[in-house]
Amino acid sequence: MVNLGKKELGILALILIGIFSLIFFGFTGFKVVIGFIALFFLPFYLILDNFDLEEGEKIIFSLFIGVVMFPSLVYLLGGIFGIRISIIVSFVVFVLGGLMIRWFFSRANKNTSDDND
Amino acid sequence: MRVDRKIEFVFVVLLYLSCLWLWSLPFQKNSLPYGEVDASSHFAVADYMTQTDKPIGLLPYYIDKRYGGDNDYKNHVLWYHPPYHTAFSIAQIMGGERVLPVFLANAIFSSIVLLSVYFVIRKMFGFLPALLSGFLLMFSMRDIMAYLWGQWPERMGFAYLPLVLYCFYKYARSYLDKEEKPIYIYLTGILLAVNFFVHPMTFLHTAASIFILVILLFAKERKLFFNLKHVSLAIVIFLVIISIFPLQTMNVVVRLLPGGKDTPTETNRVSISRLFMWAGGLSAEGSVPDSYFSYNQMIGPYWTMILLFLGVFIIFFRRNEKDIVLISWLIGLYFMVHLDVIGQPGRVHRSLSASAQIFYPLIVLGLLYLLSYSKYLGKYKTYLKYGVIAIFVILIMFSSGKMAYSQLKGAYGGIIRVTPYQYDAAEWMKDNLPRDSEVYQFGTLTMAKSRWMWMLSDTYIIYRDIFDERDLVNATHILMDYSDRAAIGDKNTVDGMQSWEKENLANSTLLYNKNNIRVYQRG
Repeated sequence: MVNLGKKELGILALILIGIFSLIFFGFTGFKVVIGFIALFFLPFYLILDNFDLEEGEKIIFSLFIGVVMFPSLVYLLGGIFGIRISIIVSFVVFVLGGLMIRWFFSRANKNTSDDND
Repeated sequence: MRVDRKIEFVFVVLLYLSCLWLWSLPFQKNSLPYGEVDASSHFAVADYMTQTDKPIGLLPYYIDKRYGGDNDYKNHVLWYHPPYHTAFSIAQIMGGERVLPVFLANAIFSSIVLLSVYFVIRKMFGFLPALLSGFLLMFSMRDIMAYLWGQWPERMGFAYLPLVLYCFYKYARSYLDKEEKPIYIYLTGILLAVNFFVHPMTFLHTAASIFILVILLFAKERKLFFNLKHVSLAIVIFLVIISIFPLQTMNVVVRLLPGGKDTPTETNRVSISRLFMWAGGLSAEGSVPDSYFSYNQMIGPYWTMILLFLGVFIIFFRRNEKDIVLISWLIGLYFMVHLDVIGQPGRVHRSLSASAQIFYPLIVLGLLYLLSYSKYLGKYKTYLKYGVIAIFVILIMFSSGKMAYSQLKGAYGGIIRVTPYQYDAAEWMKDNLPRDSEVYQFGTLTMAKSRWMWMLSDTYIIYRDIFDERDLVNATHILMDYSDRAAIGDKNTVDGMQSWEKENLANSTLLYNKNNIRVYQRG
């Protein structure tokens, strides 16, 4: 049996979901579903991946938080940039947020291990 | 039953995709819009934002005509928090179309409760109870009917309840184990806020259940199970998040304050005997069919009731911490379904639509408890256990499954749904009529379809079951829709309409005339 890592499993799931969407909802549906995963799920998984949570918890909470918080920021920024540009801006903001949290925690861990040396 | 995590993950993906396939049957072959009047309103809010590329601030004229008074704090603005409808708008933009992306997004949002229930039951009780609960939920007519009619945000809102209870329980457990994990209480605050955004009524369900959970945990542990600093921060997080949409948050607050639309009143109180019933005695004011109150038609075959009672008995008898989470969920639901006893006005019956999500896990627990006695059969126990489960699955598929499939496959068929001719006429009106037009509509079969045409055309449409001349006073245009009546062979109505048209519209300008649908500008 092929030994699948976390990343490989994620890609497999994405392929399954993509094929399913294409078959039953056409290219329009495919774009919607993949778009949802990219916008509503991925940035928030990046954020929650920095915390001491189980893998299943990160997946579920990312989905349920992202599906509301992402559109919230799009709505708020929409008055300045328009809805379409705000989608891109919001994606960048949340991804950067996740990366910043990761950087912050890695620095905090580094400082802690330096203090222990 | 132990399953490799990776295999389980694939199982869950396949289970959810099966559910999505089933729930998307109404629009797989026919992507024209359907649903009752609520559905078209959710579409309209998203569609307006997509078309204008702007978030809705003040409601546009055609939406304001119906919903302008629905925000009790500030009229003429959104009555729902924006994120849900903005998500639909994002779907339209990603998909590049008006209708299919919204219905696909709605199918995903409405069915996502399967994932939250699966997740929580999996964490609490294991793979098999979770899988079976998810399987049953796929066929939940309670959820499916509300989804088809158009109570869309509510469907998604109920998905947060088990997650919030789970996070709170995990925090409490970590505190009691002296390995505090404040991330869980912060997640509780975030999820509660998000729940509030999606649908305030479902937030109240969650709040009721959390309140019961706190009481029951305290009664069990007889000591504090939280750090005040962490809980305070979680509350601050909740308040900060809900404050980012103040107009809609205050709408909820105002409705719940004394004198508000959703506050209990003496005159709305019902008999105390309602406490001894579940759905019995509930009034729906004609807004739902009688079958909505039937266990058999909404939850499952009557024999599953035995398992349900057994499941309820088990959790109350055992009362371990995981059972207490389910008890809180159940008591919270009971409380919300019986608010009419304290005079909560109208629509208490809508809380019934949250019942399947807790009933199914209890049914499964009842079944597995019975099967736990198979251990006395020695080497045959495994065959018996999985044999009975297989029979259970088959029986459910041929009862609830068959009903769900039939309902979804045949949902809003034929001219019960907006037809291509009506859709084209609505699109023409959107592109050609002034935004402040008032169109009087004759002939369309149902109010729901008329409302869809209203929201698709971005034009206020007046539709009445019985014609009243007074409604024509402000009408700038007349829409003569013969298409439905011709399709069903309703000659009487067609003749009446033609006679009226000849007599009253001779001096009006015919702007649109296609497929038995005509639009006149009044002269």
